[in-house]
Amino acid sequence: MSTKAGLRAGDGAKDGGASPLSKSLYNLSIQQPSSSSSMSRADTTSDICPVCKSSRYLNPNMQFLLNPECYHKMCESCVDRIFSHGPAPCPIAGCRRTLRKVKFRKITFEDLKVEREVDIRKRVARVLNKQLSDFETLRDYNDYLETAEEVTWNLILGVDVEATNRKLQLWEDSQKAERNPNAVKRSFQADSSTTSDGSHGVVLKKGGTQRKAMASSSGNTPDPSASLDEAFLETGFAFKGLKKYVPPPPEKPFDPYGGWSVKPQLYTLRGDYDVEWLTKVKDDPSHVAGGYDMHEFYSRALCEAFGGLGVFIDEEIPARENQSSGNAVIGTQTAAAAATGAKDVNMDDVF
Amino acid sequence: MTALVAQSPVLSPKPGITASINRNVHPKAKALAILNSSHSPALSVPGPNATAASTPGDGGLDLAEQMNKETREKYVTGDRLGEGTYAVVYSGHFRSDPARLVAIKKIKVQQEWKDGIPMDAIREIKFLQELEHPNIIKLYDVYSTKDQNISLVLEHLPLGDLEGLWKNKEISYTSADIKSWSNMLAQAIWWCHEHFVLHRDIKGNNLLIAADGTVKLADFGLARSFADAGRPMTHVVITRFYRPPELLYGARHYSGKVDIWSVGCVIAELAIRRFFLTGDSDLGQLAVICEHFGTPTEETWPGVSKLEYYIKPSEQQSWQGNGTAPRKGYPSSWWKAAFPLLGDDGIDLLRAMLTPDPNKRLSAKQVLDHPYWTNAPRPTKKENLPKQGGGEMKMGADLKRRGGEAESGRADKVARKLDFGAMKK
Amino acid sequence: MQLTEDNIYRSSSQFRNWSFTPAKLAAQRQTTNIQASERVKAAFARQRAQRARQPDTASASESERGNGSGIDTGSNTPIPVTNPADVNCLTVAEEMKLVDSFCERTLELGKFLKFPIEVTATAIQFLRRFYLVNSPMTYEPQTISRSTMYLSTKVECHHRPAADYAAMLTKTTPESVIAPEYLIVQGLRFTFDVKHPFRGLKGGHLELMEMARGNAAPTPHNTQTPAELQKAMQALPKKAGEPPSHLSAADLEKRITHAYTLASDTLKSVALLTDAYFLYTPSQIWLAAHLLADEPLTAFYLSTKIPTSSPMYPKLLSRLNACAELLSSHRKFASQGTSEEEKKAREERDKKEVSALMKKLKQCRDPDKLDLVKLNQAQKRDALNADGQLEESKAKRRKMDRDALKKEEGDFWGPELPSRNGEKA
Repeated sequence: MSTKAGLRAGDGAKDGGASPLSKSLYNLSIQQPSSSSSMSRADTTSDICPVCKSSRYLNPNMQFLLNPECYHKMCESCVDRIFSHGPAPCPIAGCRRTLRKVKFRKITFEDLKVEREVDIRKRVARVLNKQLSDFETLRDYNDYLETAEEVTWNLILGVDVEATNRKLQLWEDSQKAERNPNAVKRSFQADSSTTSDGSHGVVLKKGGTQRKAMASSSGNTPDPSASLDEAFLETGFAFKGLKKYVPPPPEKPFDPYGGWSVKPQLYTLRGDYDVEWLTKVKDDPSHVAGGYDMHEFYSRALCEAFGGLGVFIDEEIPARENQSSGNAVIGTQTAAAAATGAKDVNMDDVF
Repeated sequence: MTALVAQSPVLSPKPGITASINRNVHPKAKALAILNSSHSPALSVPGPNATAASTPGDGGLDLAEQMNKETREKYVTGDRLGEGTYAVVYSGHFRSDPARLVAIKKIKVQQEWKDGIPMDAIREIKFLQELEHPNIIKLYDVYSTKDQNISLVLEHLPLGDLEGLWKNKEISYTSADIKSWSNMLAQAIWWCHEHFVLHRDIKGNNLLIAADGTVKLADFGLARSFADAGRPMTHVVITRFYRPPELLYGARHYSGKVDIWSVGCVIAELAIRRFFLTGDSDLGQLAVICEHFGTPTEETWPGVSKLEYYIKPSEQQSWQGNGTAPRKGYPSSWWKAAFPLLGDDGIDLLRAMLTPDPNKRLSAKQVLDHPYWTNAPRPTKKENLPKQGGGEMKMGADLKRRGGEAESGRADKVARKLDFGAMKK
Repeated sequence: MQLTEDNIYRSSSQFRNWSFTPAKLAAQRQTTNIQASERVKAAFARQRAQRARQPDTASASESERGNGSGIDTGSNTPIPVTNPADVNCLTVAEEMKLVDSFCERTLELGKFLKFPIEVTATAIQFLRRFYLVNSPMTYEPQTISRSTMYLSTKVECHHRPAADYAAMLTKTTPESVIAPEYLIVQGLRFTFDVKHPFRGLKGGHLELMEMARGNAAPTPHNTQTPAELQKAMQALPKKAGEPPSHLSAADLEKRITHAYTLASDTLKSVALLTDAYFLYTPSQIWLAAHLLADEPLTAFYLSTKIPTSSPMYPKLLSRLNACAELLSSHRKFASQGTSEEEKKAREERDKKEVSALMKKLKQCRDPDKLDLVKLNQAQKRDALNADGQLEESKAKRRKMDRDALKKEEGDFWGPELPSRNGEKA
């Protein structure tokens, strides 16, 4: 299914870019390089800590850290020096955010914008982690992806940050309410792995165009819980076409028998049977000391006494053959079904 | 199948007698259908090669031979995997589905052996034909070859055995894993006993591991069905480290409890990652057992002194060496220290399985009813069990996954998709 | 999955492979007979043609072969060169008669060798199963019956060296015992477990005795108290239709023991000599035998298990009666009605019939399979030379087969398949 999404999205790429939204996205990605390039150039040319001005050239072991609060980088020794004694304001000029040492981490991407975007995407994906299988239709899923991407870009570009954050929070809360807090979080990996590089953006475009197109041609997807969802759609923390969440059945207590049980139907085993031809053995020291178990003998004798009593070879064997050759002739299937049905009735009668 | 059709002219020995072939096809095909319908519906339509090969007279195959041939041709034999004392094991697969692997155990013909088909093979075939359980190795088919070798087509169990597992120091496992393996073993033996079969050779390397992590009991070469009262059995069974004291004392009337002792030994082995009771001889084995559990006396084990090879405590010093006989056995503190991975309930179960007096030892059913299995920790699911030598599959998975990437989200993928090159321009 | 005693039986190989409806059983025998007759006729035709070409050598080698077997089948007289059309093959009924007669002889042999009954009983069932897919015309029943007995000693844990076994019999060498073994296990489709009714009878007896003492164990459908059951049992009529009796507790126990003895005799003789094992389950067989021994008691016992109001009850009873009919219709069934003279006369008649059949058999033995020892050795020595042409073509076909398979599977499976696979298949 997910590959299908990718394929269809790929088709859409050719005529994509027509809608205003995708155009704006396109523009965004054009703008992106120019703004980031100036920044990255500054970074690479001066491998210098912006706080203490020490250079990597003199100190090859120097490590840069950043705090996701403001994404300003500084060297490890500066972090130690400034934040060891507790929270302190960011030393970068103009940034007065209070930072804590624990929050500093190594830099993964050279380009701090990318670093930040990855963080944002991680955060969004944690909340908006539905999969194609959670939706009624592929289109609903694409709409959902579109929403997710919108939220992401809002956060990245700082558009409506407060409203977006509130929305995210709402989604997260509703999700938490839906599942119990210790429910397993589903991995998003399986689905997104199939959309190959580059096509992701295209999915968005497709989603955009499609939604625009479909919205006008009124809801042609039958939605059983449409009215309910509509109400949620208003408040903004439910998605169209999202299937009702069915919590996984609670794990059954462990069965040491692996689901098997032995239930004799026609006899109840007694602890002991008193017949003359067994008394000698019962008292025989070599049987007693060797651990010979009379009970094993009783249970076997009784099991063999009644094992197969209700098995009527003249009925079961033809029924079995009909079943095994049933794939050849359809007519025999019904006969077999009838035969097994009859058998079941018999079983009910006995037991 | 298409391949067979294409070849059929090659194998029909004499093209001239096609008339008689045609006459014969019908009853034989019918008979085959009758006999095979229970096992494999696929055979109800015999391949063209089969009918063509069985021309009457001239080297033709009779009904039994023909069925045997059909079975034989269901499988393709591959590489030789190993060789035991009485059998060679090959890898193989279904002809119809090369992805379905099997192990083919070919019983060696021993010209010098004058008693025909070896007993081990007879026992193994006899019992595996009757036992079907997820924790017992599955026997798909048996066939013989022209040179009178019997081949057993068995389930393909590629991940080694339990002994290899605890011996492999690269694998670490938890108490939940031990519980899971032990439970599968306990289920297998319960199934055998419920079908009145004594295995009589339970040990770590007879417990094979399937690709999905399931433990399967194999090697029924020493198995037999429960003896009726009064019928003696041999006491020279079960590999020594796993042999219960009543067999060492020469008991000839024993019960399923002998297997329970072996199961206890295997569980103990898993917990301490070495052989548990290791005697260098049958007497030495008894000495080790006495050291751990105390010397059996008439008080602790009524009737024990009547067993054939029972040694009085007063005579034991000579072979027990340094100790002062009779031994008392180790205190519970020793058990707690030795088996930290089993927990208190596990040790309780283990000691109940390793009770020298077979009458006091747990039965297979009692073992499964023990609270150990349902107490925390819950046994690991078989798919999450540590596996050894996982083959290319696991290695591949390991290589693909990098450290710290456990938290997988859409973000990762997106990050990789960003075109850095374009951005730098 | 819940295991009832019936389900346990359903999983047995006896039910899976060796249970038939009367029609299927007859059809199977018919097929075997037709095929064997065709083979015999074809073999005679070939021999005739061969002898026409080189008259001397052929007849010499033929008589030599016959001498080598050392079996008293009269095969040492040279086979007359009969026109294949004139070969008087055995009919299905005649084959059955012969096999039945050898079952009886096996029973005698078991008594003579003092084997436990289950060894003899298994041997007889092996013989009957073997002759479902093979004809006495192909494989001589005398040799086969001795060999099945030997195989049975292995299967039933009563094994002794072949040399010892052969020494106990006249005109038997260890080789002649071993030689047909592979043929037999192949004919048995490698299922060795035979479920007998003996232990079931014991189990029923145990329960009946406890019921007679007022200790009846509860069953789901029984609302009567143990004391009530005991009373009802004591009041049972001696025979169906007779007025109720009033037995003391001791007399009742005697009655039960007597019924057990009679039923046990039936199971150990006629039950083995009929098709009962093919048509009914062991529990049905022992209850049928018990029914013959003491009808009111058995019917009462059954009614404590299955309420008489249930449709199951008459259904089961009809099966038991049919089985009882089958058992009692056997010549050997010792019923009170027949006089000694009548019995003797029957035995005489039977003897005559069988010896006539043996004579007829000599005329229609499959000349290819006269000497199983040599046949076996030849096969063992060199599988390829046994019938080289077929093997050669087989090898060729396999190679092409393999190539085709490889091609079919393409690059993905190709390289993984070892080059010599298929050779072993």
